[in-house]
Amino acid sequence: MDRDKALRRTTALTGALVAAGLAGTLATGLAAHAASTGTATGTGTGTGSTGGSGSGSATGSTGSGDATVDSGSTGDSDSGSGQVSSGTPQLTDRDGDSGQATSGGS
Amino acid sequence: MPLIEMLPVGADTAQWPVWGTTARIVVTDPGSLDAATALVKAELAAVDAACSRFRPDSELRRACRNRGLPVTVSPLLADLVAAALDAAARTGGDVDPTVGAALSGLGYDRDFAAITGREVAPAVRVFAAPDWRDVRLAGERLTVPDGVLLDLGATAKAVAADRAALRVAHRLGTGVMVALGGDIATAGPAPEGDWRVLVQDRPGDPRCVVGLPAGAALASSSTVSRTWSRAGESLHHILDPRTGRPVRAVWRTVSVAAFSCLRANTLSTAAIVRGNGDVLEGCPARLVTPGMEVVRLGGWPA
Repeated sequence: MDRDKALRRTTALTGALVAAGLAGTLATGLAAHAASTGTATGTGTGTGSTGGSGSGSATGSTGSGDATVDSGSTGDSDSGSGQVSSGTPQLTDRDGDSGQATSGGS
Repeated sequence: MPLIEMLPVGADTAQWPVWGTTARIVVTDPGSLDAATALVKAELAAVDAACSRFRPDSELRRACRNRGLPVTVSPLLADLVAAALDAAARTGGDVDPTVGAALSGLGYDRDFAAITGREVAPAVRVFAAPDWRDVRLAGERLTVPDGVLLDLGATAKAVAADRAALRVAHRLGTGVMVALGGDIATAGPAPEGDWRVLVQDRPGDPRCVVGLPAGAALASSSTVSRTWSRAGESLHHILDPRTGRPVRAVWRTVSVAAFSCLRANTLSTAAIVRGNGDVLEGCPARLVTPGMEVVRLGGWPA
């Protein structure tokens, strides 16, 4: 990866993270994800996790370009479609508990 | 009564009817609930105005009436269409936004709350969807082939959940879970013990409760939800784009977890259409057969 491309990529990833308000608060989930998938530690005020490579459009309020953001957070200012997302979350068995929400067919 | 309406509504929770289902939000900071609710409602209203198939004044309907000519659309609608086309591309057309006319032809031509449980008039015609690759989106210039009615329902609800959760977390700094029927997105910090989600289609169906870590999403697609009757035939809303007919139910329900609700919904819908789990990209998934057997893939907890 040449220097300019690397710089654009870093800007894009940082922008997407900032735009989504992920820094810090998302670190917990992403750190868990990174632990489970072995993805690299990324950028941001907190400790984030970004995919090593990928494609898709990530447009943030302070950065833009192509990037893969594991959180799936992209879009205008503080929201987005989540078009780019990779990795898989690690679910835990909470059998016996009641849910805070339900997911059935809809 | 939908299962979600049987859950308790505490000081951290709000829910209301929307799009023929129930919207429910849970926040980690109860003091932010009212503001979070307002943000989510505003986001859902914006998505509805942009892409409702049932509102003649929606941007989507206007674009579909433009005789195959390009039209400039809002960034939001461009985002929603891009998500739908991306889902089609990723699934080889299993999740296809051009089934709108086929759905209408089958009787699903208005908000689902208006047709659920009712007998609708026989369709005039039923036809396979056009090729989604004929829909063009260049920036905010959208071209819909003449005669094609887009239906973004398979992806727009998931995108709305993703957008709303991110907006709440960013604006208010609270952890939030946004559930729109089977589509669930989270953003910000999770509560201690993760977000708890009851995965179950109907009372009496196999059930489990899973913990979702911060930022995770969960979507379920089902052939037994959003059903209606026409000429004595039971129909459901997930069509095989190749036939324009409801897919044969190899799976009754498929639930998928991912790091965006859009991805989770795309994969769960594709699994229903394709009838196998090959499309799940290793994501945690729970598939229920019509005989109520449960198959767990990708590390879905037993």
